[in-house]
Formats: sequence, C-alpha cells, structure tokens
Amino acid sequence: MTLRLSVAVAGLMLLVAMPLRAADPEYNTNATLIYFDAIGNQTMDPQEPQNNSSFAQGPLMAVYDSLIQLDATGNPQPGLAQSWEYNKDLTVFTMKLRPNVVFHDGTPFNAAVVLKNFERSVSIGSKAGAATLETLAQIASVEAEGDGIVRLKLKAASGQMPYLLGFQAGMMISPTGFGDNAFGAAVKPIGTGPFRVRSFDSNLKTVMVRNDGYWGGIAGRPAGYEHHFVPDSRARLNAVRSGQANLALIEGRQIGEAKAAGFTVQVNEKNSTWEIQANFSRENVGKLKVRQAMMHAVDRQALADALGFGSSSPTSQFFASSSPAYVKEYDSFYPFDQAKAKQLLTEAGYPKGVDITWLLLNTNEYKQIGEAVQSMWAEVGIRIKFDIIDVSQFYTFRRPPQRGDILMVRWGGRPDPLQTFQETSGSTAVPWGAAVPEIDTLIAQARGMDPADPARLGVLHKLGRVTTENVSHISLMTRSAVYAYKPGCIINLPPYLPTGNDRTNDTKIGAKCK
Amino acid sequence: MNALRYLLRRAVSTIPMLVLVGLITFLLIHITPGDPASVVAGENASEEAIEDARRRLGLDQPFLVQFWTWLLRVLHGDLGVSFTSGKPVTELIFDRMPITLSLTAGATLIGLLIAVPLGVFAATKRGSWLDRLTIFSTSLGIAAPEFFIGLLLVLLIALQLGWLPATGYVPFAEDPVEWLLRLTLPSITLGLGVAAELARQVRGAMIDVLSRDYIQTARAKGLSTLSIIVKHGLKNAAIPVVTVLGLQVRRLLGGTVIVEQIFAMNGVGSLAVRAVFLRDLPVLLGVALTTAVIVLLVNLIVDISYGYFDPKVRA
Repeated sequence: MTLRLSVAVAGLMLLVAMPLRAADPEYNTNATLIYFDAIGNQTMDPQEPQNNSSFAQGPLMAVYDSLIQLDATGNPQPGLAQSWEYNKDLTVFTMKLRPNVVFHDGTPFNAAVVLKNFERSVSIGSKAGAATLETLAQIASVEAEGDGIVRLKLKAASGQMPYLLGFQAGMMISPTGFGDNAFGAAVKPIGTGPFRVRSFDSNLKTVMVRNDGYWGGIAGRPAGYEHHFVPDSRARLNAVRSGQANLALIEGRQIGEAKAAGFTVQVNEKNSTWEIQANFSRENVGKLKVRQAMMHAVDRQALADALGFGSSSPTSQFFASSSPAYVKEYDSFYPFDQAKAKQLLTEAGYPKGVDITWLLLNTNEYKQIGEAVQSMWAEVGIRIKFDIIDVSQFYTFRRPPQRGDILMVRWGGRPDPLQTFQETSGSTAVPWGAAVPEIDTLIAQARGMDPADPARLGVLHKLGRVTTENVSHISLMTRSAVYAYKPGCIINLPPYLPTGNDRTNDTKIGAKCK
Repeated sequence: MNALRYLLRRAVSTIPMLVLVGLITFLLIHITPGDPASVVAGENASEEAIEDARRRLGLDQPFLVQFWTWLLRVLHGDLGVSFTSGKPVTELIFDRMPITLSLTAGATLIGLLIAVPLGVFAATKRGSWLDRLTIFSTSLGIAAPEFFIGLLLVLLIALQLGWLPATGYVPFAEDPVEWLLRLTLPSITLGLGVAAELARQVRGAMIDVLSRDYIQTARAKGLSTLSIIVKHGLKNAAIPVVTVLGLQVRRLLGGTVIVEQIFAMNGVGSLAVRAVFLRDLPVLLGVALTTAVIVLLVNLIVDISYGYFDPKVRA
C-alpha cells in the first residue's frame, strides 16, 4: 500500500513538474552576450553629439533607461515615467515617475534627479547633440512636485515630448555620474538600465554586467553584455565563426558566406533608407518634373537585388514596411519607366538631358550605389557629375554656398516619424524650404497633436503622400541590420524601429548555445 | 665617456627630426579634405554648434599658431586631448601600445626564427635546389601583402581547422596562454614578410663571410661547420642583418595598421585608422610622433649594436 502510494505521489509530482519544466525558459543566464558591431561609442554620455547617431544607441539603451520607452515600432510606453499626460493645449507635459527605482550606484531615482539631469543638459549648451538640443528648445521650464511628479512647461504646443524623451534627452544618469555638470568622457556611465558598466574603452568596447536589481526584472537575461566596435566586417563574421563573439552585425554581401558556414542569418528591416536629397533652389532639380524623372529612371528592385543581397527592399518612402507610418500604396507612385522619365525631362525643358552635380561621400558603400544610379540615370539623359567629399563635409550641401545639386545620405530613422519629416522635408531644417508649403502645414498640424490621438497617424500618412508625390526626397531602398549567429544562440532580437541600432536589452542566449 | 657624448649627440639630433614629423603630419591633415569640427559637433549639428566646436578646439586659429600651440604643449610632455573621446592622447596611446608592441615583438621573433636558419642553410648549400627554393619562397614572402597572408591564415588555421582564434587580443596579465594564442596568427602574418627580407640578407651576408680567408683557416684547423657558423660566421654576418632588422621596425609598425584591422585588435594601428576617419588631429599627431620616436630609438640601438658586432666600429 505504502509503495503504491509512493508511486502514485511520485507520478503526481512528475506530472506537476513536467509542464513546469517545459515552461522553463531555455536561456543561458550565465553566459555573456558578446556583440561585434559596426559602430562604437566615443563616450557614454547620452548628451554628447557623437551619441546623437541613430546607430550608436545599443549600449546606451542597455545602461540608461529613458523617461519614456519606445516599443519596437516606436510607440511610447512607460519607462522611468510610469504614466504621463498633456494639458489641453499641449503646453504642459506631466510625468508620474516610477517609484522604488535605484541607479546602479544605489542612488534613488526621483523627481529631483530628473531636474538635475535637465539642468545638466541645459548647462552643456551647444556642445550637446542635436537630439538633446531639439528637445531642450521646446522646454520653457521643468518643475518637480514631491518625489514622483515632474512637469515640463513647453514654449509652444508640442505633442512630440513622449518621443523625444524616449531618446537621448530622456536618458537618466545618476547625479553622481555627472557630478558638477560633467560632460562627455568625464561622465561616469551610471544608469538604471538592465546592464551596468564594468569597463568602457572609447570606440572599442563597453563591458557590462547584468543589473540584478533591475526594476523590469532579470528573467532570462545573460550575465553580461559586451559591445565591441569592430570596423572590419570580415573580422566581425570571423569572430563569430571562431567563437570570440556570439553575435555579429554583418554586411548584405556576407549573407551567403554566413549561411554556408551554418549560421543563422537574421535580417531586421529598419526605418533606415538610402535617400537622395535635392537642393530645390537649383534650376535643374528645383523642377518637380526633373525630380519625378529621376524617380522613374531608377530601377529600385535591381538596385536592391544587386547591392542589398536580399537585405534591402525597393522603397519610395522613409519607413520600413512594419512601421505604422508606412503606406504600401506610395511605393507604386514611381515605377521604373524610362520612357516616362524621358517624357518628364522634355516637359521640364530638358529634351537633350540634364546635368546634375552629385555630392558623393567618399566611402565604398556610397560609391557603389552612386555609380549604379548614375548609370541608370544616364540611360534617360540625366548626366551625373560626382563631386566627391569626405564624410565630415556632408554639411556643405546645406550650408552656404551650398555645394552640389543632390546628396545621398544613409538615413538612420528617428523615434518619431514626424521628426523624419521635420529633419528631411520641413523648411525649419531644410534651408531651401519645403518642396510644397503643404508639407510645413502638415508638420505643424502633427506637432500640435497628442501622440495618443489616432488622427495623428492620419496626418503622418498624408505627409508621406505629399512628400512622395512632390519628390521632397528620392528614396532608393531600405537598409536592414543583418546579424549572424550560431543557430539557437540568440533569442529575442526583433527589429527596433526608433533607432538605427536594434535594442539588445532583452536579447537572450539559448541554453543549448555552445 | 665618448659613448655617452655620442648618445647625447644622437638624442639632440632627433629633435629637429621629430619637429619635422609633427609639422608634416600637421600639414598633411590640414590639406586633407574634411572638417574635424563638424565631426566633433556630431550628426545633424547646427551651424552654430559646428562653429562653437571649431572655436573650442582652436581650429579657428591660423595654421602656424595651431602648430606652435601644439609644439609648446609637446615640449611640456602633453600630447593634448583627443577631439572625439576627450581622453588624453598619451593615455590612449599607452593603453594600446602593449598590443602593438606585443604584435611587433612577436613578428620580429617569428621573422628571426625563420630567417636565420633558412638564410644560413641556403648559404651553406649555395646553388642547391633547396637554396633556389629559399630564394623563390622569400621572393614570394616579400611580394605577398599582409592582408592576403592574414586572410589566408584566418581562413585555414582559425576557421577551417579551428586551431587558433581568429580575432581579438587578451592582455598577458589577464591570461598568458590566451595572449599567446591570440597573438600567434597576427604575428605570423606580420612576421612572414620580415622573415623573407631577413632570410635573403642572412644568406647574402653568410655567403660573403663564408668565403673569407679566416673561415677557410678555421676549416683547415678542423673546426666543425656548426662551430664555424655559430662562432665566426653569424657574428660577422650580423651587421647587414641588424641594419635590415632595424629598417623592418618601420615596416612592422606600418603593417600593424592592416593586421590589427584583420584580427580586430585594438592597438595603436587601429587608433590611427579611427583618428584619420574622425579627423582626430591630436591623436594622429600623437601616434605619428610616438611612431617616429620608436623608429629613431631602434635605429639608435642598431647603431650602438654595431660596436658589439664589430670592434673596429667602436674604435
């Protein structure tokens, strides 16, 4: 009887235990995520201009939580601010802070800390990055109410605060990290994020360990996270192949090699595109029909196939197909049609073709795409003369005396789709003004809307239509982040649209990963 | 006393050379297109922010004023602060120097280990098929670029056979075994070219020495070939070999720029490459100056070593 009872109890225990075991997450929480990336951080100060790059956000997001977090598609979610609200006319933005959060050094997070962070950002002045300056330019004052409430009074109505505070300007540093308003390399990287910094080597590597006291929990997170900046793409892939890294960002042309070596290749499409900007003050590209001819004369599919190796898609807009701001219909506005392009050029007054100067950045990637587009355009009579410049001279396009007629850029995406329109198409950022006044009107309209208002997305879609129809930019193809790793080693690395970098905060390592 | 005076004279004579190196580097960076201020001001920086960065970095000053300011700082032992990372240049270089020095020393060692036996062997078997094979393989070694050798080695030894790691560097103090393993492939990559150059020199010098009368006398005395080579041959053949070895340091330091990229090692070579892309003037100047000092020091050591190898030089 006792034996039978024991067997029955054991059987019951086994039954109970089985589903539990099956539900156990299969993650190796003792392993370290070692990621070989194509970009590094010069400092770990989120407000430093080098960290303004959309492609340098990975380690920053892992160390610093921002007041508001943006989800994978860019929707504002609670972060260090548990909730927020606008007043009626969108001039006051009030945040209720998350209680019981502490920085990696034990300093409690509260309203006074938020105030100190804003004070420091203001004290940096024009040394700060554009994202921070853009945010501060909208804020008139910051007030605290007790420990848990922070109120931002805005200079004018703006619905962009949840997005802007989900980027660098909203990343909170422990006051002990910036002491007497330290800046750049002098800042100690102490945040509240899921990983704390053990060592940092400028533009080399950031070694982090799991923050076991993280307010968001630690379930499944690896014990450490090392972010290495390795410029050579071959070396990045080789590191994964020979076991020095478990995740590498590779180039499209390496997809075949990585697959042949037995690796999982993951292509994350981003809000990042190859774009050509045109100076509308020029006689040639200032004419809409010339720009439309340029759009029709590019075989985007061929470009994506030949240079994207399966990691790019043809596009006529700024956003990834998974972005709420994307509208499929717009990609059909300018099909590849050489006859139409020639006809448009003739109508624009250029029956014998048009000469255009292309300010081209001096890197292989830019040159490859530039030469491919040059040969496509040559077939319809658009004659391109390259003016090759160093990467650091790209600003000469917009700055007087404004060099070149067109410039190609690798657009890295922004947290708020509206920012993309503001920075690329609005007359506040573009010195020669918007392609049509309606763009500025729509930008102002969207800016004055609460992000929670569903109608805002409608305005953004309208902006997408107007900018595409009026060719305020010549989009070529999307850019993706392409990763290589051993099968089963990397879990949960979804495309993160708000920044050029994907968010690796919740990336896990498979238990069976060797 | 004479030796000390000689050393002092040599040290003083290097100062104008170093100033010249600084001036040429300064000039080259200034005539290269690119704007450090816009890099420092960051992506999407406003015009005001770029101008502010230019003023802050002193780049709005005339060329000669900038150079003079830098020179005065250097004379006080201060190489300045990196435009981009904000760290002292001296610290950046010293942090990365162990990697580059380990790599250079490893390559020199591999070069010597291959070149000396190979050169001696070829010289003693002059005209044989093995001698001709040595000449052919050294020609190949001289002609093959580092990036090609490096990629081949990575592909075969690291990725195909999995014997050695393909990338990275681990400090000796952290893990001596891993340090050695990680250094092996890059050192071979860099050292093969050195071995090829040196082997030819050793062969030539040994052929010359072995035909001398005193070697014939030694043979007549009944000394073994090994004894003749070690006691008389190698020491007398050393001067041209050491001269070439000294010249190889310049090549090795230049080669680290490529090899460090292939093997993802963050030494002084990588620092220089990034400084070029980021137009980080103080770092570039610091690296150029440090490299020049190393090359001049090695040349000085080579000069001094002549006295050891040939007493006539001392006299």
